[in-house]
Amino acid sequence: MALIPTLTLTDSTTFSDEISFSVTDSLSVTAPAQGLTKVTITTADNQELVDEAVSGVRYFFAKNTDASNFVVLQTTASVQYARLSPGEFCFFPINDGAGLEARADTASCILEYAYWAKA
Amino acid sequence: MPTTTATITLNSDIDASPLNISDTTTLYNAGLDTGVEHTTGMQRKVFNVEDIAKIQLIPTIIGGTFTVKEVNLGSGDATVTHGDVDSVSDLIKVGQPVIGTNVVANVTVASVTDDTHFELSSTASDVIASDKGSLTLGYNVYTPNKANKIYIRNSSVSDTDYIVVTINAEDIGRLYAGDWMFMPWSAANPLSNIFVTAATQTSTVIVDYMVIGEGDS
Repeated sequence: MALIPTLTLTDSTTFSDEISFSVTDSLSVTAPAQGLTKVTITTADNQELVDEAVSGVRYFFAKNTDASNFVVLQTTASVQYARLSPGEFCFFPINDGAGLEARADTASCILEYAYWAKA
Repeated sequence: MPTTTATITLNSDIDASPLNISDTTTLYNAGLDTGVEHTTGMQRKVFNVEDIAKIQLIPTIIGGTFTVKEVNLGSGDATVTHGDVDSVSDLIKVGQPVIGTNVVANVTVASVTDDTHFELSSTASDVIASDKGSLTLGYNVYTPNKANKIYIRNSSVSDTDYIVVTINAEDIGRLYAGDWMFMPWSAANPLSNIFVTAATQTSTVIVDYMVIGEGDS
């Protein structure tokens, strides 16, 4: 089974050298997988989205659907490494055993996410 | 207004109901008023087979470093006395990261007193030197917790070769040949550098990468 992610970045107004590229990949994936899921991320606690106790590499996608507040992404050991801005998405691999948690900073946000296990 | 857009599509035949995600977002600075205006441009780093150690790919420092010479700083002291060699005092600014022997992690310039003195944000753990020491300062840094994004791709062709991406000492994940990642980068402190380790490659590993975002604004 394959997961085909494609990223396209474009900009023709900001920089003197235009940014325009597209990259795609074909990832072999297997179970377990988490289909596209919508969850409310609160400020009250860290919400585990990927369990660090489950072995294997995961390919993780998330989109912050909130219009004005960001979501903090961190390991299950609560080490923060990213802030997902309003309306933005991310796609990256999660290391075996690292897990992933999300936490809203200012107000609850609805996060869409999915992940797939590397075959 | 600057307009940079990122689009992702995800297609999969993993389920009976095939996945088909497509999403486009405009990349804004924090606050959503202004489009991002900083980029490193696409860069490439080549790891030879013998390059198996963890190597810094993207530092939190922007614009490189400079050296402050004739430094005198005692143990437990935060006041740096230095020579104004090559008019280095013109370069020293509050917030710049400070790197040196016996300077603890995450130390920055807290204040600049005059042309030959500045204060560290934390005291030195031990004597740096007496009159002949030196410190390394970064010109500028990514503003912490702003809207920066990183793109990293392992452009190698060997299926089994992978790189491990590490941010702030946390292993984020593995990128195998052809794999890419696009995610926000907090750059929350001077230790939030991004490292790559290609520990087991059997052939040359090529990593393409770019930061696009808010930079030091």
